[in-house]
Amino acid sequence: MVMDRAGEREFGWCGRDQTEAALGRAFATALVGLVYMHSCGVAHLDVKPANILVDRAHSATLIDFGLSLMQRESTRAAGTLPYIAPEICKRAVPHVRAYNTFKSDVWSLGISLFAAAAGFHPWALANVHEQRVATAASTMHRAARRTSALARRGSSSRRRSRTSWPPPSPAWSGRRRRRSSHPA
Amino acid sequence: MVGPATEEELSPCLSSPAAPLLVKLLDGMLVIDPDRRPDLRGVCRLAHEWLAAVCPSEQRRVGAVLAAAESGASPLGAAVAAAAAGEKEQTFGHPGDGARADSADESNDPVYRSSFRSSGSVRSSRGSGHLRLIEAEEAEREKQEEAEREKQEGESGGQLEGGSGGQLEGGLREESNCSNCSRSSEGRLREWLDELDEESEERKRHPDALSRQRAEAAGRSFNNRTAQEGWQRAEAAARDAFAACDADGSGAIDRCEFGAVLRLLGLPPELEEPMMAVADANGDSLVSYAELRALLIKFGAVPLAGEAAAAAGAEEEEAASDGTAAPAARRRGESREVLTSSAPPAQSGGCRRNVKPLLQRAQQRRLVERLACDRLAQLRGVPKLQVEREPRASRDGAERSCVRAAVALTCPVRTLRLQACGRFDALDELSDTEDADDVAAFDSWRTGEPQIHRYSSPRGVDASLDPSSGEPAAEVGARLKPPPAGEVAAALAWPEHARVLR
Repeated sequence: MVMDRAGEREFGWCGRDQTEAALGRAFATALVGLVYMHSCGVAHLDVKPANILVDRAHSATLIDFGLSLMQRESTRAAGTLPYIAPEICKRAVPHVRAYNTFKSDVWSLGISLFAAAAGFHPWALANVHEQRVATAASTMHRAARRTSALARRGSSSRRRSRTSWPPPSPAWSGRRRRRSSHPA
Repeated sequence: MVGPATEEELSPCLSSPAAPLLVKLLDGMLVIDPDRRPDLRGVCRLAHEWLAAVCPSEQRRVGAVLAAAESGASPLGAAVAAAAAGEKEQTFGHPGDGARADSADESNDPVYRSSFRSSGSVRSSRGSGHLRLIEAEEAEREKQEEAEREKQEGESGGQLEGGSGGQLEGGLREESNCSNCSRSSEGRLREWLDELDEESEERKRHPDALSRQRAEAAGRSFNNRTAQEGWQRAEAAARDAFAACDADGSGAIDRCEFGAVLRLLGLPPELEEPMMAVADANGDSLVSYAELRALLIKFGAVPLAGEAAAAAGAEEEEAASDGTAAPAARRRGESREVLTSSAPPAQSGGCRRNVKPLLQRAQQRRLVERLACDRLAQLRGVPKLQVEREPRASRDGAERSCVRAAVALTCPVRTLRLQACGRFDALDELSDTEDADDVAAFDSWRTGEPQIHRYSSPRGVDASLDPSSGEPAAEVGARLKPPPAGEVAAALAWPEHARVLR
């Protein structure tokens, strides 16, 4: 099987030389691709930086349609944890109710953009369970606060520990224990 | 939450002037309620502003796709293909030639402009009907802006671009033979303020020139502007302001020079001490450039886009174009550094006549005065001013539950931990102390006011969380089973909460 050669880098992980223009272009191309997918009635349902490949010209390619559905509504709880939408995550525990697949794609794209632009996840919590809790309860207010505080350049950086830029891995690795702002 | 601690570690995307637009986009996308969350068309609309700032070609493409999607007349796939075909005509600049183009003045470069426009026409010839309409409108607007800009250039003669630096230099030359340091600094500062006023007047007279410059800035960002460049410009501006205040060129602003600045801005001399205390971080009664820079960063030299759009006149330009951001940021930084005049200065013109900036400054002044009091108290070893808190007894049940809900929304993990331990008292305590400066950051982000730092929370939540510590544990009360001492023991005793705790 012969296919196009997609880009070699993941969305947002271009290192220090990543400019805003490059990020904007990658985001816009991914957005256009998703718009096209949705217009065809396909929901991706696994949008994350690892599934958005970016080539040297900074144009993005969506890959990995393993979880995609051609349904407007679904009850299947699947996705990748830091990027999964809260309505999926919240209802995963008792029973999954129907959720809008297209809307959850929007959420995942937003989290991907957040991670790509900020270099860390909106909730960098200690383990997978806490992440699920945080996703289900949606600390998005907190996340927005974080970005704004960062955008205002570290006005509340006092409590934050140092980390390296770029961050070590786009996917969440449970082994790497970071210090959260809530010491256990 | 782990985030970059210093400015060097910060992602360039968050340290750039377009960061507020990005935050706005993210705010719009990440809505918890899926019914209120926008679909992808809404995202296209939301992304418009940020993309226009960072990557205008992509913004046009997204706009075209959005138009096609909304009309429904042409199949979206065709629109995507057309946009992709048009996109191939454009080149994405390398950093190297970006630097080269920046060294020349690209606004005056006809080749640059014509190439920029021709790519648009190529795309318009290939696109669908809607695309063509959009492109035609754009070309029209561009032409208008060009005409405006040429008119304005003829009048001001490049005043906006390099004029400020030149005037500053001129002031330096003129006043260098003056022996009185306060006189010379006053003269230079006055000139500098006048020039800023003139600039804002200029901007008010030609509002279209503003949009033109904005487009230019966007065009530059399309080609070569890195995020760091804006910072460098802001640095340069701050350096200029510092040089203007530093009359004797000693590399630091001493009390004499500081007093001169105050006199110039019409501030009472008794304000000198607290203001100096704020500006002077290491207590050597000299304000060094590093201290000034720290102050500017603390008070957020980069304004918010929404605020800037709401505010009139010169306030607006700061967020917009990086060419003009430098003097504006300098003015803003300067006015904040000297704690913002109580009354508009006598030589005020331009932006200072607007009511809204005045109001904002009055608010800032109040805040900064409080900050000054705080800092003075800290210097003297006096316990810091306590924020007035409602006594807990006066809270009725409904209000308390509201507060709990709010806390649960903002910090669910810790709330969960506390609820797991039955620590409702600690939960209320949490609502008082937890995230005080986060909330302050959020509020300051919403209102655009500088954030007041509280130096330390008197009693940390984590201390009250620790079951082995005496006094908070006594507060827990006997209504629920107290947690076993130590977290390991807690995890062992309550395995169902162990995952939450660890």
